[in-house]
Amino acid sequence: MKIDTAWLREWCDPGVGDEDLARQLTMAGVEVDDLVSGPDGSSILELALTPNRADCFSVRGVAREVSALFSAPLTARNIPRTPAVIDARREPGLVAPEACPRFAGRVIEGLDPAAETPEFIRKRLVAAGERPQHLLVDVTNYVMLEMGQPMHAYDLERLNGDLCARWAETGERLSLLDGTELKLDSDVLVIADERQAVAAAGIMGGLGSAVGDGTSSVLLESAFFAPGAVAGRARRLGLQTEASLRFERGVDPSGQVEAIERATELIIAASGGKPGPVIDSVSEKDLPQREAIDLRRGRLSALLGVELPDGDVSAILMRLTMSVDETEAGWRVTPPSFRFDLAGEADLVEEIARVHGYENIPETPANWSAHPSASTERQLDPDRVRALLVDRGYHECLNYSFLDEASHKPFHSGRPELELANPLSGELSVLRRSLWPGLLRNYRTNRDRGTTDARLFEIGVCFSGTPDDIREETWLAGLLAGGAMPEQWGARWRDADFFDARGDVEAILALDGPDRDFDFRAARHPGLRPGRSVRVLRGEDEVGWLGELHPELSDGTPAPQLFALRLDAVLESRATRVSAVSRFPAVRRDLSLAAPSSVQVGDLLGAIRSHAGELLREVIVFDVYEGRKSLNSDARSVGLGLIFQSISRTLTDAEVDRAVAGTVSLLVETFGISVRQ
Amino acid sequence: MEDLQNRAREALKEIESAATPEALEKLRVGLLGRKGEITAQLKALGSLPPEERPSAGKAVNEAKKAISAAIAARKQALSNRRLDEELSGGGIDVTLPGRGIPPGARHPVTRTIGRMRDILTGAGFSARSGPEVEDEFHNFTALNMPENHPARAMHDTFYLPSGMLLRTHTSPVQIRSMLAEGAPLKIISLGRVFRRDSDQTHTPVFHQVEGLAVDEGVSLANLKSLLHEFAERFFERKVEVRFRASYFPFTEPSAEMDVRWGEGGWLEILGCGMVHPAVLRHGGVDPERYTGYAFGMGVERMAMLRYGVTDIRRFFENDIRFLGQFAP
Repeated sequence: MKIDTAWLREWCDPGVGDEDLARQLTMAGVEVDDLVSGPDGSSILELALTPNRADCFSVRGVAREVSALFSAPLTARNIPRTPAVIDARREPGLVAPEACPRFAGRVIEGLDPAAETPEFIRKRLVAAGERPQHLLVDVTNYVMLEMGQPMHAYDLERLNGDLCARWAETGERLSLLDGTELKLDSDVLVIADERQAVAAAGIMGGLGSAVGDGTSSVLLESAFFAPGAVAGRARRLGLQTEASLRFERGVDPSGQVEAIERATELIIAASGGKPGPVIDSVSEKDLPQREAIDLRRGRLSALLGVELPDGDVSAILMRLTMSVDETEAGWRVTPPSFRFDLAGEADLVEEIARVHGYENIPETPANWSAHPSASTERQLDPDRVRALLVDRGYHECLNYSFLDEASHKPFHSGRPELELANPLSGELSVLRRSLWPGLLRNYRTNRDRGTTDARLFEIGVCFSGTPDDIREETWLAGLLAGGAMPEQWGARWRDADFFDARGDVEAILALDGPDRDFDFRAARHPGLRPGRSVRVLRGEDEVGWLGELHPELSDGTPAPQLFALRLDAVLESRATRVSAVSRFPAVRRDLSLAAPSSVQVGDLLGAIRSHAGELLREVIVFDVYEGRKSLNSDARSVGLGLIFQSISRTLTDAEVDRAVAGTVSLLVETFGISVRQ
Repeated sequence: MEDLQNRAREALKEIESAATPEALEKLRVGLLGRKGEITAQLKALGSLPPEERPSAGKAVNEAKKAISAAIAARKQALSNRRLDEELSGGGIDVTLPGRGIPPGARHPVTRTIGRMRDILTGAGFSARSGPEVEDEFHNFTALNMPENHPARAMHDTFYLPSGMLLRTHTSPVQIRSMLAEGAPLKIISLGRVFRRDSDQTHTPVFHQVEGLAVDEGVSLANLKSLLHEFAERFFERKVEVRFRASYFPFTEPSAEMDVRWGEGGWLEILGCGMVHPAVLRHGGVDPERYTGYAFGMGVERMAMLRYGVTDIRRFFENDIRFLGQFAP
C-alpha cells in the first residue's frame, strides 16, 4: 500500500522526519519497502504489509500505529454526521448474518451528474496507485484508503428494491464491473436486490448496477463481511481486489457508519445532493467479539528473556488503544475491534516487544548442557561421497525435482507419471523418478556452450510408487562423457567408457570398506544400451545401475556413461575388525588363458575365488585381449595373476603348483578354456 | 718459515680455483707427491739443526694438513658439480603441466548447506530430514495456517492430484520431530522446498535451513544471540545485525534479521521468532512448560550474498564454467 506522508500527518504527526518515520514503522513490523518522492514535493511511503496487520490497510490505521510508536496523539478527525433531508432508503437485509453481520447503507439523491472529482482526491488516489474514474467511485476508494473500510456505490435507478447479503445459488450468474462473467458456487457471498445478484460481496460490484455518467442517485454500501466468508474466494475467482484484500484479513466491524458519513461529506461537497438516513442493519451476536486476554508478567519475561517494568508494559498496551486491567499475575487486556490478529498471550508479548523495540532486547547466549556428537562410523556422511567424486573430477549439479514427461519417460518405461496438479509449465510437470534426465540436460547445455568433457553428479530425492502412494528415496547419480582424461600432452586421448565409469562406481562402493558385498550383474535397463549395462547389487538387493546411455536416446557420439546408486546403500558402513597381516613371502603365478568369448571374466574370477582355497590371497586381471590371430576367432586371451600367501608359514613350490593345477583343471572343465603357453 | 706460510696460503688459493679434477690432481702431485714441494720440505727437516727441528716440523706438518684437507674438499666439490652437470643433461621440461584429472567442484548450494550445518551442529543442534511430498496438516495446519489463512497465499503451493503437496518450507520437519522426539529438542532441518514462482530471485525449487530449539527457558534473547553469532560465523567477519518485527503464522513474536550490507543499507537474511503455542501443541509439547524458538533461511540467498551471485537461476543451470569457480 502507498500512502502520502502528508495525508498520514493529518491523522497523526510523530514530530520526526519521513526517514525516521519509515525506519520506526519498519522496525515495528509495518515494513516500509521504500520511501519515494511523489508529485508536488510529496513523499510516499510504500508499505509491505504482512497479512496479520489488516488494521494498517489505511491512512488512519497507519496513523494509529504511528501514534503508538511515537506516543503522539491521534488527531481526532471530526467526521460530521450529515443529517437526512429526505427519507429515501433501501433496507439492507441480513440473510446470512454469520457472513455479513453488519450492512449499512444510505441513499443520496439529486447529485450533479457533471460533478468532477476534487483535485486533492485525484492526487491522493494517483499517489496511492489508483486510477481516478468517476466521482462516486473515487470517493468510495478515497474513504477506503483513508479509513480502511471498502465501500460500494450503486446507481439507485438500476437497483430493484431492497438489498441483502446472501450466499449465491449454485450456478448463479453475475457480470462484474471489469467485464468478468461469473458462474458462482454456493460458498460465494453476494449482494442481491430483489431480482438478482448485483455484487460479489467484498470483492467487486456488478456491471448492471454500476454508477456512470448519468448517475444522479446513489446507494452507498458499507458492510462488514466476516474474513472467513471472503477468504480464498477472490483468489479462486482470480479477482483479488483492494476490497477483498481488506475483508479477508479483517475490517474494523465498528467503522461502517463513520465511513458512510465520511463519504457523504465528500460527495455532497463535490456534487451536492440530498442524503437519506443511514440505515445500519446489525446482528450484534454475529459481530466479532474481542475476548479479554490474560498477560502474565512471568510469561512475558520468559519469552523475551528480559524483565520490563510493569509501568512500561501498561503504557505500551494503552498506546495501542487496548483496554487494560491490572491483575495479580500481570494484566487483563482487551484488544480494540480493529485488531483481528490478537487472540492469545503470545500475540500481546509480540506487541510489547515490537513497541518496546526488538533492538532493546539483549542478546543472551543459551545455557545448554553439552552432549557428545551423535555421528556414527556405521553411516557415512554424504559429504564423503561428494568429496570422492569431486576429487575424481566430477562437478556437483542440482536440478529441479520436476521435469517434462518426454525426457523422463525413457528411463522408467511403463510406470505411471507422478504429475503435478498445477505445474508452472509443461517443462516442469512430472516428479522425477530418475536423476539421469536432469544430468543429461546439464550435459547437453554444457556441450552446446562448448564444454564437451563432463563429469557430473547429483544427490537428490527421486520419487517412486503411484500417484496415490508416492515414495521418496535419495539417489546418487553420475554422468561421464567426453575424454577419459582432459586433453593433455602426457596421455593419449581416449573416450571415457564403461570401465571409467565403473571405476568411479567401485571407488564409491569401496567407501564402505574393503570387504564389500557389492556385485555387478549384466542386466537390461530401458535407458541403457543392451550389452553395456549392469545392475548393482548389495547381497541380493538391487541398489543401482551402471551403463552406457541407450543409442536411441543419445544425440551425439560417443554416448555418455551413466550410473545411479541408492544413497542409503552407499552410506551404510561398518567399523573394521582387523585381521593379522602375513609376515611370510607371497608367491605369484601368472596364467595366460584362451577363453571362449561367451565366458565372462567375472564368472572366471568367481569360480577361482570359491575353489582355490585359503592360500589364494588375490587375483589380478592383468590383460584382456581380443582378436589375436593365434587364437580362434571366437576366443579371447585373458591374463590372470594368482597371488598365494599363508598367514603362518612360507609356501613350498609344490603346494603352490598343486593349487594352480587345481585351478586350471577347474577352469578347463567348467568353462572350456585352455591354457596358453 | 715465513716462506713456507706464504707458500701454503698460495697453494690453498690455487686449490680453491682448480677448475677440473685433473688440474687439482696436478696441484696435489706438485705439492704432496713424492717430488712435491711440501714433501721436499719434510725431507729437508733432517738437515736442520736439532734445536730448529721441532718448530719447523710442526709448521710443515700443519701446512701439509691444511693442503690435504683443502684438496679433499675441492675434490668433493668438483665431483658434486660434475654429477650435477651430468644429471642436468638428462633433465625434463618441468614447466609442462602435470598429468591426470583435475578435481571438479562441489555445488555452492550444498557447500553452503554444509557450512550452515557445521556452524549449527557446533551450537548443539542435530540435523533432521523429512519428506518433500507433504500433507496439508504438516505443511500448513499444524503450523498455525488453517485453510483459507491469508499466509497460505504467500506460499504458492504445488499440489498433486491426490491432494498432497510439495512442501513449501522445511517447517513440517519441526512438527514431525516434536511428535517423534518430544521436548527438549534442538534440531535443524535442511532441504529442498517448492514454490510456484520463477524469476531472477525466485526458482520453483530452492533450499532452506531451519532451526528449532524447545526447552525450558528458551527466550527471544537467546535467539538473538545465536543468530547474531551465526551471521558472524557464516560471513566470517563482524557483522551488524538488526531484528525487525515481522509476521509468520508459526511464531509469535516474529522477527526478521537484517545484516548491514555495503553503504548503510540493510539486507534481510532470515525469519525467526518464538514458536507459537499452537504449533508446540500440534507437536505434542506443553507450551506452559516449554518455550521454543525457530528460525529459517533460504540457502540460495545466503550463497548469493556470500559468493556474489546475482541471478538465482545460475544455481540450477549447472554450467561447468560456473560450478568450476567453486573450490572442491
